[in-house]
Amino acid sequence: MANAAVAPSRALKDQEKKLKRHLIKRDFSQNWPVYLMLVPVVAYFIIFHYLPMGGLAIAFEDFSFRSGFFGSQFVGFKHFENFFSSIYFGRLLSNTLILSAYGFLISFPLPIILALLLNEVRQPRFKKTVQTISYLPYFISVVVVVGILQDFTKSNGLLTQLVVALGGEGGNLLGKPEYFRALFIGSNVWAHIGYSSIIYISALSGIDQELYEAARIDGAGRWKQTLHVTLPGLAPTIIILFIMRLGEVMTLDYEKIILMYGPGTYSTADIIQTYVYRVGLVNGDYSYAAAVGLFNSIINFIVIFVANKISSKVSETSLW
Amino acid sequence: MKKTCKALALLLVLSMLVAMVGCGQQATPSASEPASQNSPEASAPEDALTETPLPISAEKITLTYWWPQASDLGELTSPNDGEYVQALEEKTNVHIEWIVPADGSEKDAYNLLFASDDMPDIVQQSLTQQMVYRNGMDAAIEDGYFVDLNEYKAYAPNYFAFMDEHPDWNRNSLTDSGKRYGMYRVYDQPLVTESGLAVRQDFLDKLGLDRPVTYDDWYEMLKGFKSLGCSTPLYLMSNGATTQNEMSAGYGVAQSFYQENGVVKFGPIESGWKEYLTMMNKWYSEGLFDQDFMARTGSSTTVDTELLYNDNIGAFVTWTTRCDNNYVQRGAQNPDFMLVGVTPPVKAEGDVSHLRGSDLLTAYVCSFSATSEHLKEAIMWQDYRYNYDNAQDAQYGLDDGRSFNLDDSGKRILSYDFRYSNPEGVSSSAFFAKYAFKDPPRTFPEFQWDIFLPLQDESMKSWGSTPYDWNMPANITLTSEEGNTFATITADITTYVDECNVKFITGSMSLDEFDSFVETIKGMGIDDAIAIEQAALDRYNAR
Amino acid sequence: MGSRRTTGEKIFSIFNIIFLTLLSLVFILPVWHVLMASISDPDILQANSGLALRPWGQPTFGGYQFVLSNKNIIRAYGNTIVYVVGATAFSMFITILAAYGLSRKDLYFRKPLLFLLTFTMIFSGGLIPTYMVVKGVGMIDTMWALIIPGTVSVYNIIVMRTSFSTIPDGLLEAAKIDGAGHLRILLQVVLPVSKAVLAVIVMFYAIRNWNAWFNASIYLQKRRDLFPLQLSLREIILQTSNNSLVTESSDPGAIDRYRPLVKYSTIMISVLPMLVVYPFIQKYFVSGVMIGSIKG
Repeated sequence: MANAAVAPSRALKDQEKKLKRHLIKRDFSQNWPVYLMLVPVVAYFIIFHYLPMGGLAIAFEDFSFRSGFFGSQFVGFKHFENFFSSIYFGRLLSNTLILSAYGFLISFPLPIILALLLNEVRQPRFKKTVQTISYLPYFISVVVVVGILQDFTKSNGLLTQLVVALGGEGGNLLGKPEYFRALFIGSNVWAHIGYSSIIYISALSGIDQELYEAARIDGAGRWKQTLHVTLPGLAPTIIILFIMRLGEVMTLDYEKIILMYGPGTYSTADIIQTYVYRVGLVNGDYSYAAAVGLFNSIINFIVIFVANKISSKVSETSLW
Repeated sequence: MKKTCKALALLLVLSMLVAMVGCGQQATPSASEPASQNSPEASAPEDALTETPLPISAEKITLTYWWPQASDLGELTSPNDGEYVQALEEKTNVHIEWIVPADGSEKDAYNLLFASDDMPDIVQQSLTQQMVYRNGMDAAIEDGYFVDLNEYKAYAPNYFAFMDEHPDWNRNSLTDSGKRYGMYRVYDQPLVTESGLAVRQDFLDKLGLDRPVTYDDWYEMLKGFKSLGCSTPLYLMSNGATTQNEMSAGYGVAQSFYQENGVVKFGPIESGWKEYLTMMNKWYSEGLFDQDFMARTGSSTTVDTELLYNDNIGAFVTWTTRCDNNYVQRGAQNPDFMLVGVTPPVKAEGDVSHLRGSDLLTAYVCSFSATSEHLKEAIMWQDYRYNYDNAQDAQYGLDDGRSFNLDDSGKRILSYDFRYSNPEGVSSSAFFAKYAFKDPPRTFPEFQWDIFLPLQDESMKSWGSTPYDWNMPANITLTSEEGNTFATITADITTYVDECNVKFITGSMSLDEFDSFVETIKGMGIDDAIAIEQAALDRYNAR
Repeated sequence: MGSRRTTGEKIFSIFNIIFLTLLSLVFILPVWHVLMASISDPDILQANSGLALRPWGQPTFGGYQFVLSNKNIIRAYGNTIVYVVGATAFSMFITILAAYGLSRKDLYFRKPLLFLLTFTMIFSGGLIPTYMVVKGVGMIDTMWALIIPGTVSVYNIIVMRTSFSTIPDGLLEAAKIDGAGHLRILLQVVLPVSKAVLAVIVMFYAIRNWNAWFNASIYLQKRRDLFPLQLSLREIILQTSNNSLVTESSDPGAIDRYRPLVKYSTIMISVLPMLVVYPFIQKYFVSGVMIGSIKG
């Protein structure tokens, strides 16, 4: 019985293999120009993305440039152990996750709200003006945004005065750990909200006007229309973007953090990548930095993998 | 999916191999090169030079010089825009290509120098910024990055002549094993520290106060400044201290390592530091010092001029040249602006503080690449900068009657007016880069003393009046292994201490937690770091 | 619009307009403040700390004069233009090729290739290994270092691929029957109908490269003359030099008076080209972004 079951499956497998070979052959004979076009692409990714992954081997050595890859002493998991037992480990991990999560939770819904508000405006010229103005910050570079932020958060800066007027404590806001996340995410929102809302605005304009008409005939007010026509119409776009944003939830703009933080705010601002920068480039401890960086990539991978699993279960759309 | 994963794994392994082969190839040969290339040359018995032959090279050659001093350029694009450097090029027939890393990224750039295949011919390393090869000075020579200058004594007559005449400097410029890492910047005359705490004399006069001596005097004074409408009575660095520990010296502690009669200590774990933080916490809460201190960048002498020029700073760390009314020329709004240096505050009158800026300040050292094509020329060129006449030009500029005047004895005196109200519109920061050279390797400190205003002179004298015997010597050297361990331990500790200082001072961490703060630092291995520093200090003292 | 509106809706509309107006001010005012501060009298500027709705004191262009006479900034400006054009052209080249290839549904190895690309979005070698590869290919201290490594975005490839795959098959088949090869199909059929998405992605890349500073600070160790504008800006705006411990630190003396102005003027000069250009290109935003993000 068992043999009988195996034999045909083997035959099937052989056949499958043949078919596969045939398919590949046909594919190449038909699509070789496409593959040729993809050669520079693949070469680019292998050189500038996969080769560096290979370079992560230094995480397991006491690497020095002079001794090179082979000459440097192999130390196994020493650097990982050091990192896990470092007093910064817990803080770096939680800062990274918290900043990612807050950033996502705050900056994802706001553009939708802006789009909905703009959608309610009945004066086309006003709407257009607000929209145009809202893109403006997107065109200002990070260095300049941080420069302006520094200026506004000095102890006599504009933002500080505002905070004091609202009953907050004065002082240099950028120097206070408790304000860091708000300033980081806030300035991101300021710079990106208008731009991010574009897609929702386009989606809104694509909703069939007859649906509104029908709703009105049913006696629905604007609020009901929003609830029963606008939001369902927007839902597919929201879901798609939600998933796409999930894919980059862990890619914090650490270059911006480097411009913004200081020893006084490390307790909330220091994330794994900024730590890698300090340890690796500023202190020259390349192996330790590579180990920490590798750890970050793994965390990143896990978060996205889980997110993707969930999203493909829930909405049948996934990143890959 | 599974297949792609497998393929990916394969690709990863492959790329690791390629990366290893690719980079391994580059790194291995260069390790053996320097030894074989240069040593025979060095040991070749050539007649030692007694003076620099000019031009240094018959044919025009180009040397690369790593110069991490972007901020000294002012509005110039390169030191080659300066008159002195141009004249020097003409004389020596050596063109210098200045490599100036981005302001604020100097440390990164320095570390990456060791990754690049072409080390600049001359590398100027700021010792105050701890720019030294990660594994120590000896290791940099053993690993074949820099040469041991001892082997090239024949090409450096000026430098070695100076060292022969100045045993103090000489001792400071050797490593424990007797190697020479490079040419150190030196002062032609014994220096008296150039920086220290200064207070606004005109404010004191207004308040009818004497110059402060004790912490209590300071407290009264700062309160007085505040009553005058000064928003930042005291200005400090982002860790709540001053670079040379002037504010904490009275409590007998430094913000980092220091020595008490040959015994190395780490300030932040001493009880004096707690006292210091307690006081600063009080002052901070009363608004007596910079509310933005944690956001300041730079050392304690880089003061926010916006505040300073509008009478918003009463006390800060500064240079002798800035005392008296110098800031009025620089743009201060108040014509009565008057600044005077004071000694570090102490607990009770009659106490002596033991920490301040050192008189023997070796600010930087220039090392020579072992793989340089023009090693001899590089050494001769740098050495020529220690030649008396050439060094005078570098300090004062080229032309009598412009950047300097001659006094009756024929001595050069820098022109105060030409510097601070330049007819050609050159800013005082670009002044040296334009007409002379900023911080030349052989400095004549009297270039400032000669044109001192009364309170500048007084400031220098009062700063020089306290001892600094608890400072760690600037030039203790670590072995390769020590260097590595030390760097790893202290990197994390420094961050932690800086961070907690701010929290203690601003009150976001209670001083009751000081003991657990000390425990944490001990848990991070501070005792090992102290032991390393102690061993190095003992070796230094035995030199 | 002619529909009857309840009082509640009317009140909402009014509040909505007020809110959006305030929001617009939040977007504009910081930039306006910087603009006005940049032409204020430096002394009065320092004494004030409020919002500058108009220049304080007699308007002056001293800050701008200083910035424009600073060769470092002008040179950095030129470099940035090279980087923006070069890097955008290069990344468009790779992006278009990748997007076209991956949009071919009949490609047998499409999935693994796509995975090869998307994997790099979530897993990377990190700073130091990447540096060593860039060094290994000899790009350190050359302009190439800012044009080639790290400039291509997989996200953009996916967006463009999605857009390409919405092109009706009939169009492509017709071209094939006419005897067109893949290159001709790409150049003569696919690209012409994808102008909107191309415009958007060009703009993405241009903005990204305009903003970049970090790679320059690592890859251009020795070539100050190749610095992009953003790196020079960082020196001027964010860094109060910290390397002057050596002896008397430099500060710009007489220019000190203008220092805050210099800061604001530099910001304005760096922002200006974008401010001038963006109202014209923003309409592409709207048409292009939408196409790109419909999942294929």
